[in-house]
Amino acid sequence: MKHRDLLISAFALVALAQLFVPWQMISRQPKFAETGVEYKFKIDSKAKSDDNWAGASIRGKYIWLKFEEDHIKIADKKEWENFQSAYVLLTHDSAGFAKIESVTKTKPANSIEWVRARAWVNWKDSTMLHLEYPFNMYYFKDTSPKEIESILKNGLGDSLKLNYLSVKIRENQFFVTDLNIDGISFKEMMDKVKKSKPDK
Amino acid sequence: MSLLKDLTELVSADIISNDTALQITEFYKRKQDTSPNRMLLIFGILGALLVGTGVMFIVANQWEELPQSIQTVCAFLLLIVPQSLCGYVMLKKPQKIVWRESTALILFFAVGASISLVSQIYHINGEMSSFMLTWMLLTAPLIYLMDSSAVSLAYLFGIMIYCPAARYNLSYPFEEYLYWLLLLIPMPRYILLYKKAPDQILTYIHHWMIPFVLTMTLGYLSHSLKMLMYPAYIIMFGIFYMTGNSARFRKKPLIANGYLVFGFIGTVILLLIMSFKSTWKDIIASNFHISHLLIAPEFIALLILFVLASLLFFQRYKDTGMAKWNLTNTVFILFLVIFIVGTQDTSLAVILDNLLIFALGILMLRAGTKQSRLGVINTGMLVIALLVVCRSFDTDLTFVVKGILFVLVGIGFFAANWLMIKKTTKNEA
Repeated sequence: MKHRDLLISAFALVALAQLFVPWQMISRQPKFAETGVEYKFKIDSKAKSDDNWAGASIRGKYIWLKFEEDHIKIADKKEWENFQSAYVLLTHDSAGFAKIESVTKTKPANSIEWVRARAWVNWKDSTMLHLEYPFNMYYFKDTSPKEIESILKNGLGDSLKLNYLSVKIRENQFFVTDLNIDGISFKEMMDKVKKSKPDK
Repeated sequence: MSLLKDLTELVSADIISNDTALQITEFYKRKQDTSPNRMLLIFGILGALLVGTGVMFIVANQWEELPQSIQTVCAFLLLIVPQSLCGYVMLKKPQKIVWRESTALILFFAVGASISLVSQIYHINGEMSSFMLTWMLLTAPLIYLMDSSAVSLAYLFGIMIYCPAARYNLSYPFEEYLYWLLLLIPMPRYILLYKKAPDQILTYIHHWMIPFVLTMTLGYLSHSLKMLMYPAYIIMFGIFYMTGNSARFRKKPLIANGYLVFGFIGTVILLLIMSFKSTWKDIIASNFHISHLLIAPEFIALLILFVLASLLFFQRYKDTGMAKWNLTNTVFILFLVIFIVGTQDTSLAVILDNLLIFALGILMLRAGTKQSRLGVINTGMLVIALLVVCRSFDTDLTFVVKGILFVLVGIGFFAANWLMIKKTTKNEA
């Protein structure tokens, strides 16, 4: 075999490997969707956002959500000083909502119900570890941000209403099912808004 | 080329023969055929980067509106198109450097982009370290298969990002050492490139990228014996300096000699840091378990670096003897002595370190004056000035004395430059 043929054969193998990786990532997905555990993350209606309304704010075509279960007490802040991420083990509380069971610096070996989150120690209270989940940005389609804003202001700003994000989680993989505002699916609300809008 | 234009004149003046003129013409013709146009190469690579970014922006604009299946097809097309381009270049244009470099670089970014896109489309949340590792391993073969320096540079930058991600991924405690194996992958080609195309712009960039990447990543070997990283860094900078000052590199312009710049600046900065007493206090305060020493990564790194530096040092002075002795080449040995002294007597180590910096500045001034090189003189002056600035921070001198010190250093700068310019003008006259 000539040198050039060898090179081209090797390149073909590399190209196949490059295609195999994303293909394998996709092929694993159906299994995950079936076996992921569903968690409902309560939205923090007391937390004020930059837009001065509670629990959420709009960033382009995304709604940035702030969850109640996004912090945990830690014993030693020094342990977490060099770490920018934490493995969050989840459980359900008595009402069926997501609750942090514990945080670790290493991948949990005996559980599938965990997700990796960005972590940082509170600069005022060094016993508090803050967590930012990878699903805190909720994407919305087709509707103008102004309409979304009014829905969110009325819904998420009211602390008496029960708002939560449903997420299926399995070993750091997640699938966002829906955003619920006072028991009503956000997707359904959007469909209603769409139908009520006259065609241009 | 001006030389080629002058050839006829040189032949008619009987300075060179007709044969020599012919040989010179053929030499330049051959050179022009094999070496690419430097500007074309740079713009080819820049073009590849811009095309890649542009396509991403166009897709990103309406990305979320597309159905998942179309998104997936886009993610795969993003990979297949550059792969086909690379295949075409390998088959049809293997000698064209600009084509090779630009298509290989596009494929390098396409691999990372397609993995990211699939992760985003299917909400696959992964570790930064495993993403970077997968990306780098999938693209490393392109360095050799496409004979691409641009991919080699991008790969070096990529593994530099991988290093801290692996260091802080506690799930796999030994993953951080994988970085050092990854670093070896492009090295054989780098050495070959250095021999075959020493004056190519991408070779020059390698001379900067390698010391930069090593400077940025050596510190991640630091664990419980943090204090050993100070001598480890000094030795590494010593290696850079000796490499940059070796016969092969010395003749190169400073822009092609990243080793010399990194080696010198790194040495001076680290010596200045160590000239503060507080730094030594931290060293003494850090826990030191002698039993852990032999298996400590810091110690192993220090040992390997010391052996390498010593080999370079002896090779350097084997032929010339100590006649061409240079203090900067020796700093790593002197600093080791100071460091050992410092573990016993901090004050003495601080004094010795200050003296070392001062001597470094003075010897540079002397060398610059001897060789009539204004750049060397000013660097020497700058070293002394920085030492004065550092000392003004931690001494109890009054503002007046500090002010006088700064004025004296300033006058020194003016005087040295004025004297040197005067000397040069006199010599020219």
